[in-house]
Amino acid sequence: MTTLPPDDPAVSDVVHECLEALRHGESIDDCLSRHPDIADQLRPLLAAAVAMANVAPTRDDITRRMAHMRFEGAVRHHLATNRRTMPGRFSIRDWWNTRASGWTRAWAVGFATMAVFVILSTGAAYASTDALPDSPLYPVKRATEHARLAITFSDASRAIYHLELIERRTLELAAVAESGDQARAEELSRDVLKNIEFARVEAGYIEADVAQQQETVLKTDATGQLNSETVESVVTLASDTSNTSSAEVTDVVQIRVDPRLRAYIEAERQTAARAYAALQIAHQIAPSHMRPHVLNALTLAEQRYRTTRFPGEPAPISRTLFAQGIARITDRGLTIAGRLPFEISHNALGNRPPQDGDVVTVGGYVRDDGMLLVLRLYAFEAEGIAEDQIWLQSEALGRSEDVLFIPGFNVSVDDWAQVGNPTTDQGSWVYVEGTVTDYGAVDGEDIHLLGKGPTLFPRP
Amino acid sequence: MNQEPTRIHSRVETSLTDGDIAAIVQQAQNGEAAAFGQLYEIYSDRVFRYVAYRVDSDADAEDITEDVFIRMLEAIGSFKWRDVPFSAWLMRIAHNRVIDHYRRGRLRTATPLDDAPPIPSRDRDPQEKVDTFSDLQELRVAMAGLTDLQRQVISLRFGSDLSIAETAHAMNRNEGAVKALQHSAIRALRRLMLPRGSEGSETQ
Repeated sequence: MTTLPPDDPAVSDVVHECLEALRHGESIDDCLSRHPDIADQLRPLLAAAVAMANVAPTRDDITRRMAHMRFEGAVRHHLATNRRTMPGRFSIRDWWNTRASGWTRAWAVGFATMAVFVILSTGAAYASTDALPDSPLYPVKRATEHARLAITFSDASRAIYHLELIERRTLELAAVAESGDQARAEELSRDVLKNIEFARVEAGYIEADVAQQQETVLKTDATGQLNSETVESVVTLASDTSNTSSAEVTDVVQIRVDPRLRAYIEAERQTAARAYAALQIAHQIAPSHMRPHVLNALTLAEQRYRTTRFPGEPAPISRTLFAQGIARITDRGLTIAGRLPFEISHNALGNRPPQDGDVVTVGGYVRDDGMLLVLRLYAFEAEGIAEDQIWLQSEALGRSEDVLFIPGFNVSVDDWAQVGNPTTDQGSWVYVEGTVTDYGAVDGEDIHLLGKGPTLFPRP
Repeated sequence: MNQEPTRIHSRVETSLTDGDIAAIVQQAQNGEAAAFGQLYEIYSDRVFRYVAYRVDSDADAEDITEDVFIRMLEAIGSFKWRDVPFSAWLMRIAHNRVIDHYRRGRLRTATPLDDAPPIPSRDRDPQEKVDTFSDLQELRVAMAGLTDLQRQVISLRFGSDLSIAETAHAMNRNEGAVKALQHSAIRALRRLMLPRGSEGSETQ
């Protein structure tokens, strides 16, 4: 009988082999009989593993089925509102790039500019374009829309649905433009205008309603009878952001109270992003006499995109700010230009603090208008530490999550889905680099040190 | 002395191959609702168990599991098989949501498991050597004594049933490192199973 050091890799291998066998129905004794020389060493470990595996969490079947049903509902909703982001579906941009040409483009630019203007002036829209006007299924699609409208009762839902219809008709028009069917195009244009009018009226109802709600909430606040969830949100917000204004707190209260408003803001934001992207394309290819109009619309779209935010959500960070580089590297992380902290966890650097000579490179996805949408750690060169031993946490753009640092794999899909919309946010990655030069200086409460900066360069 | 179990209770295993999963994921990426349903069937229990090992109540685990699938739904369009297996990718989302759960918990003054006082021991002779966990709560208390990486490896291997290779992808470590972590986690749990004062008697 031998006893190997407990951290011997050979023991780890045997433990692993036995665990796999146990998972496939072997008993502890079966496994020990294959490794009699270290049986005494193995037995307690395998016993612990079996004990642990046998109290594995289990799920109540009813809870599970209900959760599954809720997920199915979410899938239906998601697919209905995000068709365009799914590959294999009609995409106006793909169509534009591959199929439209000559007069079709000229016609469509004119129309798209007009349509985007109108959409911009009214609010939100969602897209879904399965059946195009020349499809045999198209009448079914229109009939379904009518039916759905008939059973949609709240002002907010109706407004949002009308906005969705506006965008559907707009996309259909773009496709009809290719076929040259002028009569059909005019018909669709009239439908768009009709939907815009409906949406406008319904949005007016919502605003009036919300104003009334706000008044009620403030009164409730005054008498100290806010519901606990609302109080919780306010407390969270107050502790979360150092410079929360009272207006933002009020907004949070309001949004908690009125989920309809929340849906409306979300829809509005998505439209603003899409409108911006559409206008960017339009601007690139528009005839010169139309460019000033498109530019004007672009400015409005940008303003709208910048200002449509949920309360508490930080404002977008500009490329200029990002270009100021890495401002600070501490034993807990690094800070980009004083605004975007990355937290490096305990294990990030193999349990050692940053040291002089460590070089960190951070990438930011900067949209074409200069707004930073995604922040990502690109490289960390730390002497004596393999890259695959580095594990980081990021706190960027108001959200926090762990970042598994994989060199070259710098776009987390999870991030992407939350912060930017790759379909509409055209831009490029830029990088800043910082070197730890004097780690260990003490300044007030934080041990910290400056990295060099700024350095802004294209992808290394 | 508690009776020492010698076998792992059998669990229903999926017979799907990587190719099958890849096909389902592709269908989901193409926007087929039924494929999302299949992914839920295949992975929801595994995500739930992973989360349940790491938070202190089944209700929280259920909420987080729901959230993980919503994130999956939103992000699946950008998933690429060549970067990482789907299961590992999904568990990374789960890991992130668990971290968020504790961060939010701190803001709301809830006590994370790490800081929670140990649950008072049951009616057990303090000299008795414990060879098993009587329930999940007891295991959770023991797991609070592990490092974060050890907790992760246990949750991925025993909760999510990930293979060593998948776990390595999910944790972005090589397989040797994962095996070593798994070994050290089990050793640590073994120590945590023993009542105070008897640590020295553990056979290494």
